[in-house]
Amino acid sequence: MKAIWLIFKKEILEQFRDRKTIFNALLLPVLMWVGIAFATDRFAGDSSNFSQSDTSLDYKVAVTSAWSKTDQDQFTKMSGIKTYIAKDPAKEVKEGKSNVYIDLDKNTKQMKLYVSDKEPNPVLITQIENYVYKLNQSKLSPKESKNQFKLITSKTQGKENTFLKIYQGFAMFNIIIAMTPLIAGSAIATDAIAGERERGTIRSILSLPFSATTIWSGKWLAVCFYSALSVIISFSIYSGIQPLLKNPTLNISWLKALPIHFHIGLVILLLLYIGMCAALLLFVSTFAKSYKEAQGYYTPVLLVPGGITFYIGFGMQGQETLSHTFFFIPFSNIQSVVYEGAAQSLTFSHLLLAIGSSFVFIVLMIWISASLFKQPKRMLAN
Amino acid sequence: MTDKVIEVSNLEKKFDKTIALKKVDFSVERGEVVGLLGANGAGKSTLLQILSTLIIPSSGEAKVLGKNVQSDPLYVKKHIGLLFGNDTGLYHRLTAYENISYFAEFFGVPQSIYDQRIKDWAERLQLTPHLHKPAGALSKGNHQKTAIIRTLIHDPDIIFFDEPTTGLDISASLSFQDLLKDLKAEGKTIIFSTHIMEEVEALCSQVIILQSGIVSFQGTLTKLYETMQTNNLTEVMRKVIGG
Repeated sequence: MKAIWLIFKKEILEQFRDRKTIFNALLLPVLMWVGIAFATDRFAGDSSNFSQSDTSLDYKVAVTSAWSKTDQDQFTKMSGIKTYIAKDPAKEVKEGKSNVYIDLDKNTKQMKLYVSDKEPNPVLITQIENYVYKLNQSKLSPKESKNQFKLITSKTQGKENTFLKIYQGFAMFNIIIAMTPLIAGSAIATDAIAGERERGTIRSILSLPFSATTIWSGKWLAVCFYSALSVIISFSIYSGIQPLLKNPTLNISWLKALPIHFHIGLVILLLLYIGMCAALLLFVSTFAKSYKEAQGYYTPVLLVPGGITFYIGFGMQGQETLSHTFFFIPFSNIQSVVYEGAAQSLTFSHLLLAIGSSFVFIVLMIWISASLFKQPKRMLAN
Repeated sequence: MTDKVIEVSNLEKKFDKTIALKKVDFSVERGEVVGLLGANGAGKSTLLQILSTLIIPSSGEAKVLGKNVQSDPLYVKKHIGLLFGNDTGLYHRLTAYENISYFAEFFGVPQSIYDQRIKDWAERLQLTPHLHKPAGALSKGNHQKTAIIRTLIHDPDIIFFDEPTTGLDISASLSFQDLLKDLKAEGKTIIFSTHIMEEVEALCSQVIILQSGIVSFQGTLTKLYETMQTNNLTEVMRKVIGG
């Protein structure tokens, strides 16, 4: 243990004196997450404008059987919105198939608009109001006020947009914790082994009376330390900047809803994830024959969690639970936990599964890398 | 009764198709200073790397302090000091003092002892004014001096030097030779490879000459001079290497 501590101490001291490390592990997160925070703020603003102006003809509104084919055609012609007759239109809104439903009473000249209480669409409501106005102004309707159509709006039980809810809780939080350890750790990991090989200092280290696993573990701990520091800085910067934004993009309200033992589990999982990233990066550094080669491998390595984020974030389409397989696969496991957490469907067994698979991955990586590390042909060849 | 601290028998090392060492046999007794001589590529560095457990032999056996270098590498590493002259392996971002103390801590040397040793040896090798400068800012000679102190900081029983005076000026080379004489007087066993024949004549009780991975001579300098019928080591090497 003393040897691991000494290796760790030396790595920390040495890396702390390297401008490249300071930039990658400490300064880059500050610059990057501030930039991303303001960029996502603008993007979120723009996309909300876009969705509110979306009056696509593809949008279908449920109507009662009181609507005739002529009424439906006329509505579509004047409002640009398609309709369909539903046996139980309230159920359509409840299940999220339609955002509103409209009932029509030709005798009383009343048009009753029932709007989802979960996700009211003001643009759609305005369009329907406009339709009634146009209808009353047209030749189809007598000018006397008593014969004109009236629109009565009330609320009905709707369905929450689970995709949006999960996505908001998952996206940025997940990106910060999934990407930062890899970005921050790559420079340190490259320097720790591939760099030492290139500078010829690896021979001094290998001449020490300690096993390859001990030496490798000390270096691994140092990479973990800088990565963890970088995650803390990144998260603090990004969450600290949220109150300054018009459209905050970091939603961690789901964390508050979790019981304490889940929080402990999440912290353990996060630490293991940082360890997992450090182990992978250091494995690459051990495997590569030169500093440059190691750097070349990091782009595909960074794409792994990026691809998983994209797959889970968009591919699951608001599905509230994920299959067990997601929790077995390294890098997918922590992201799946965050996903189910955001969906408020995280189970403790899934959390434990993710912790277990991360631990196994780290042990495996240390074993494989230490086996490579003790091969003199690989380490001492120039 | 002899006290053999290094025993090498039938040692062979192949790198792919290249044979670096072939059926090497020799032994070294405690307190001997052995000069390892040979042309570039003769196998000197390979032999020292096998003895210091850094590389594994293809066949044969090498024992240091009675322990096999392959089966007991940690014991061997604990009792040897190792310096490669062409590649000091210092950490450039750490100071000379940190480079040395870092290794001292690894070998479990208490701070009060290693501080005193660093002070003594730095004075002796004229390194004191540079001790707290980053290794990256040191001259090649001061680099080498730092590496020499680092090699000796844990007071090893056996010391391997591979061209240790590379990059040293005359004054530092002479200081280093004095240091080796003191180590010899303390009973340390030293094997060092060099191309400087004056160093061998001044320090070595024995020489081993390697030619294309084969030991062509092992014995005292007197015996070598008798065999080669000359009293000039440079002349001997010229004959052996064929220069």
